[in-house]
Amino acid sequence: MKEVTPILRKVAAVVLLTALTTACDSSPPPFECRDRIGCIQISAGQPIKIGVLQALSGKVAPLGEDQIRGIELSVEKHGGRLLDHPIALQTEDTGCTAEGGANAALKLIADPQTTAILGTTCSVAAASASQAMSEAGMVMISGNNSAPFLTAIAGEHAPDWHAGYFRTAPNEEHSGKTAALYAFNELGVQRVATINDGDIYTRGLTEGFEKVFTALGGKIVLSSAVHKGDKEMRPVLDAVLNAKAELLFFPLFQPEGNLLLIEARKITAFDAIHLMSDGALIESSFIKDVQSAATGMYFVGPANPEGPTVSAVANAYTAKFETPPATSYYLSAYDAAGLLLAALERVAVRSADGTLHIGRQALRDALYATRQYAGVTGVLTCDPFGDCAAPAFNVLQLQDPNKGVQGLLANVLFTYAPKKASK
Amino acid sequence: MRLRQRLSAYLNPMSITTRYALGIGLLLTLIVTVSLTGYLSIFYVRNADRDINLSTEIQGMVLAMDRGMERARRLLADFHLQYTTIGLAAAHEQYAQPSVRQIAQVITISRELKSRIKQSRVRATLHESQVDLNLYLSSAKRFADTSIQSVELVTELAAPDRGLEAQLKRNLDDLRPLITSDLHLADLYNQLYAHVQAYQISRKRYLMQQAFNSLFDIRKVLNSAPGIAVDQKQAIHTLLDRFKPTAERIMAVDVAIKSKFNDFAIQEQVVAPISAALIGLANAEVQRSQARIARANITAIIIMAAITLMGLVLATYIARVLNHSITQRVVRLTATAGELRTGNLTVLAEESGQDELTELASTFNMMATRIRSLVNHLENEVEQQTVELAASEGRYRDLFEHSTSGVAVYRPIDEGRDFIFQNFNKAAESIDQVKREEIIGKRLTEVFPAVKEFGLLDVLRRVAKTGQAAHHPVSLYLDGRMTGWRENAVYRLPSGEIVAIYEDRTAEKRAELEKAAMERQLHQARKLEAIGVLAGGIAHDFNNILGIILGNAELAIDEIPPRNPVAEHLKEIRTASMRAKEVIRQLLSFSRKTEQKMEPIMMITVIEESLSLLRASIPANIKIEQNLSKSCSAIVADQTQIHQILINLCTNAAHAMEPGGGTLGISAAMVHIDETEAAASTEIEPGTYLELAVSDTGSGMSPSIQHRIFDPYFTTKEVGKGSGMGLAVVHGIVKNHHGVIRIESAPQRGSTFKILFPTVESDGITVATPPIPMVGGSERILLIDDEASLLKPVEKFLDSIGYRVKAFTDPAVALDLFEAKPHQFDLVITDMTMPQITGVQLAEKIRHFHPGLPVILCSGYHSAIDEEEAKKLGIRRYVTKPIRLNRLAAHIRDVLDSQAA
Repeated sequence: MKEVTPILRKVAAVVLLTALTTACDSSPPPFECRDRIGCIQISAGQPIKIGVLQALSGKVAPLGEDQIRGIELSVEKHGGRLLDHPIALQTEDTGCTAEGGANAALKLIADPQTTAILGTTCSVAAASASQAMSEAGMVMISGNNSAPFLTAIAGEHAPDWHAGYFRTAPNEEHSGKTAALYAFNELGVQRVATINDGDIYTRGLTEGFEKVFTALGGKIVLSSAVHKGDKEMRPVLDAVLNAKAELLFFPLFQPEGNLLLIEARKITAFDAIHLMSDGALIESSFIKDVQSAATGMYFVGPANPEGPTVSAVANAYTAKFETPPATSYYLSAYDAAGLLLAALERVAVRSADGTLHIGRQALRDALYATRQYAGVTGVLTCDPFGDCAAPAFNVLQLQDPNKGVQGLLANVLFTYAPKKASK
Repeated sequence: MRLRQRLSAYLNPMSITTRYALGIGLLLTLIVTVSLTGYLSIFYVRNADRDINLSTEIQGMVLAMDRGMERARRLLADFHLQYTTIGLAAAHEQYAQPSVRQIAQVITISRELKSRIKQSRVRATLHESQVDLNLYLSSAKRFADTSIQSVELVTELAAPDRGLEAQLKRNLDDLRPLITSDLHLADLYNQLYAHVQAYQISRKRYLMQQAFNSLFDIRKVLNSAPGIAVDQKQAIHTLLDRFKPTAERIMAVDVAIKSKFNDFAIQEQVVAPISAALIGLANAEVQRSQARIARANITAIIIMAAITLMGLVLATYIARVLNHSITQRVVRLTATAGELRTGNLTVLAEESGQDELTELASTFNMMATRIRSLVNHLENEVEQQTVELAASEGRYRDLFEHSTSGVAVYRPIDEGRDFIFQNFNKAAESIDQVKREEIIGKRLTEVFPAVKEFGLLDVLRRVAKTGQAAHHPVSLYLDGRMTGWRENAVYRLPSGEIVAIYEDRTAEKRAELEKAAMERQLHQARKLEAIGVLAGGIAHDFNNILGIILGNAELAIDEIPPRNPVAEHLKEIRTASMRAKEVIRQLLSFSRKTEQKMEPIMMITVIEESLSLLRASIPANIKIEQNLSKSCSAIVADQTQIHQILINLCTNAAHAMEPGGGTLGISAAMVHIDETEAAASTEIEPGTYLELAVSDTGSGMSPSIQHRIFDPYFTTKEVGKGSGMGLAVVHGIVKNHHGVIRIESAPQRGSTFKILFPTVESDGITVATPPIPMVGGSERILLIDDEASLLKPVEKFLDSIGYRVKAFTDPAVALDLFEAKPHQFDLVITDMTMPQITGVQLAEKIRHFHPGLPVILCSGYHSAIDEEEAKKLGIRRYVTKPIRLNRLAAHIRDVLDSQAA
């Protein structure tokens, strides 16, 4: 017994130690991704990568740059970090074309660490980028796209709708309607000619206009188009004249919009014809370019947000970029980034080693579940089609080019703010 | 030197095993270290080599992807350039399809490349290129999609007949004849046509817009043109209506194609830097791996050289230590052992140190001392054991010599086919009746020539060959010198000698044979008893019948004149009846139902009497030779039965020699049966016998016949010549006389029957004399027989010789008469077997009324009453049926005379 007792003591000690070690081992089990699409794993110290797709070349580049600035202001508001991880923006140029949007989206999607995309500037780029993004299981929020084709038309899924696409810019399905209502009811015109440039944005606007105007009892005497890059506008203006139109609705981008306006002003017959465009030309560069040619011209565009929050952001804009904002569209970009970062905060799971786990489907669900988000552009509630902004459109008229965009925005002739269609 | 001394001081206390283990362990450690270094170097170099290969492979794949993409783009560009020249179908086949195949190949390569990089051990920089590869792969896929879409757009635009441009041209062509009749309209049409062509060249939309404006003008002029019919106007409007949608679609397709070209340009911008970066990374990886290989080679060479040098030094030192501390001491110890081997028991080995060799030397010295002591002790032991061995040898010799079993020791020769006697004990001498000195050294087959037939030789050969002990069961050994039953146990000694231990089983075997013979005899006796019972049953009836025949025949002979021819026939009847009576008597004799009268007789006398009777019945061509020894002793026998034997044997012999005749020999002599001869037989004991021999020179018998001749009713004679009972009767008589009958016969060589009778002393032997014939009388006789046909002749005969006879067939009636006057009769003659009452019962009743009245009892067969009983009942004579009347008369007279006396 004398020999056995020490051995038993040692064995008992080992057993006790093992039991204590086991009991004290409270390390949590490793994270298990149960997301239907998959999870993004962001190790401690690694950045949260967010892709930015904007039009950074050509005449529309100022629009894209404003979007980026809005995004940067939003990120900056978070101190450049989210959930103890730095936020890294990877920016790609879409060229405001479908092919540019698609290829730029590929660059972002190729990196499995890309969490989400903010963009695009142009709806035409968004259509191709949105499809690629959606197939990759990601989310994309635009602060500038307004083409109805991207979300919903008449409360139904639009042709270019893709899951995971959201926007804080209003659906311009109501922009065309607003223009038509004003033309028929306020201006009293009966014959209208429309000109688009073939992309889904301008086409969506003219089609929306035509539909409502016809329904009101008016007549679309010409439905024509120009191509991006066209410089010779006389033939199409001749067609307008031939059609005896009382109003020309031409929601074009620069420079086609500029050229067409200038050419129309060269024709005396157009003095009697109302000219109306859209938000794409509510831009200081346009006004600078056409100057007095735009005088008297009507514009239909989203209602301009106002208030102290907007002023604060605008001040931040001015301070950061040393220039006042040219348009109000950067605010939608600001809200788009804010919406995304808020959703990421809600769905991200942090494991013990500091790794963030973000479920891709969970992120989509969180965005679709956004209700009453207090954005600078207003209260945002995302519907199942991805439209988060409340539609409100104004009809503006430029009276003094020297007052610039702000003067234009201030001259509101008509406002239309319908309730959001939902399904 | 100091190091060497320290090492020696460290090693010397160690055992040899430890020193060897240490030395070999060190060498092994060096070998393992060298091997490990080599292995690690190879492993390291192989890994680097693999990385080089992988990087080179990646490079190759990236280049292949680039080449594929470049070819695909070029082919697609060629398609767009060439389809207007060579036709859409040819362009599709030559450029569009190869382009798609190229891009499919690029996609496959990029997937493979992605997989390689993901699975490989290349550096992190290459792993990080996964993102670029993803983009490359996506771009390639996108190129595939957009290129196909662009081809589809071109097809929609330019397909022969059904393409948009063809439709537009057809539309214009259809419009021309309708519209050119009016000059103004024709002018407008030309403008329209010119605008369309201008558009098709420049693809500028405003040109097509001008065409649309021309359409507006045409419609305007057409509506106001008076020279054009309404139907024609309508047709023109229809064509104009078709124009615009087609033109709008053409422009949309043109825009889309342009968009695709932009797409291709962007894609190229995307992938070009990716491939360049990948190639750069792979190149850097190759260079790094090559540097790793070079470093590994140099390191391995230095380590291995150092270890090899150290190993050489260490091996030399270990060899020197082992030589000094082990090998030289082993040599000295071997020399000491050599001296011990040559007989120098005083030699001692050197003992120094603490290792196993020292221990071995110490052990060697102890062993040498011990050997010296043992040698001295051994000599004493050998002497003592020699004495004990001699004593032991004596004990075993006694065991051998005094064994009651025969023991023979053989040495195999001729490869075990024969055996030489090595030893032979006394019991064996006694059993085999040979002397040891006479057979030692001789062959077994020489001493016992029948050993092969005996079966023992094969057993000895088998044992000699296999070494397996064997048992040779009880068998008969028989040669000219000796006969006897032997049982052998044979085994082989370790020396190879064969030992046979055997027993003489002659006495046991003889007893066994006799027991078997007795069992056969018992069986025979039971068989004969059964026949006897049968014969006894029918003998009475036969004798009654014969009595009637014989009695009536004798009466008839007496009553007819002797010269009457019928007298001869009647005599024949009487003779036949007597012969039949004799047959019945023989039958009864065979079954021992006749009484035997055993008494000492002289055989010669009986033979001579029988011959005197036989001579008359034996044909003259048969010569009778008799050889009767005067020295024959008497035998105890029934004379009548001996006579019967002679009659039967001689009659058979005479029949065997018919019709040619021959010699009938009869002899009698004394013979002696010794033990050997008796042992071969189961029927006879050793001793002196009287031999009666009857021989003939007739046809002889085959062995199969010989076996059956003693069976009752077995005969080879033709019908009417024999009953088949003759030899059966002879056999029965011989057995009753404790004799033996032997046959010597062969076909055509005659037969000899030899009968051996036990003899007795012949002093006082007398020969019985024949009875005196009797005559008639006048006494009163009561005659009773239930057979009327038998009763009548007897009554008539007795009347004829003077007696006064009262004959009755019914015993009750006779008794009634007798009771009435018991003394009116002097004699009663009664049948034994009657329906109501037997002869014995009748006699008893008669004695009741008239004690002392003599009674003669007649029976066909009766054996159940003995002489004393018969006397008590007044039965004075017992007469067997059928009885000759004169013999009955003699009996009656004899009884009456005896009664009177």
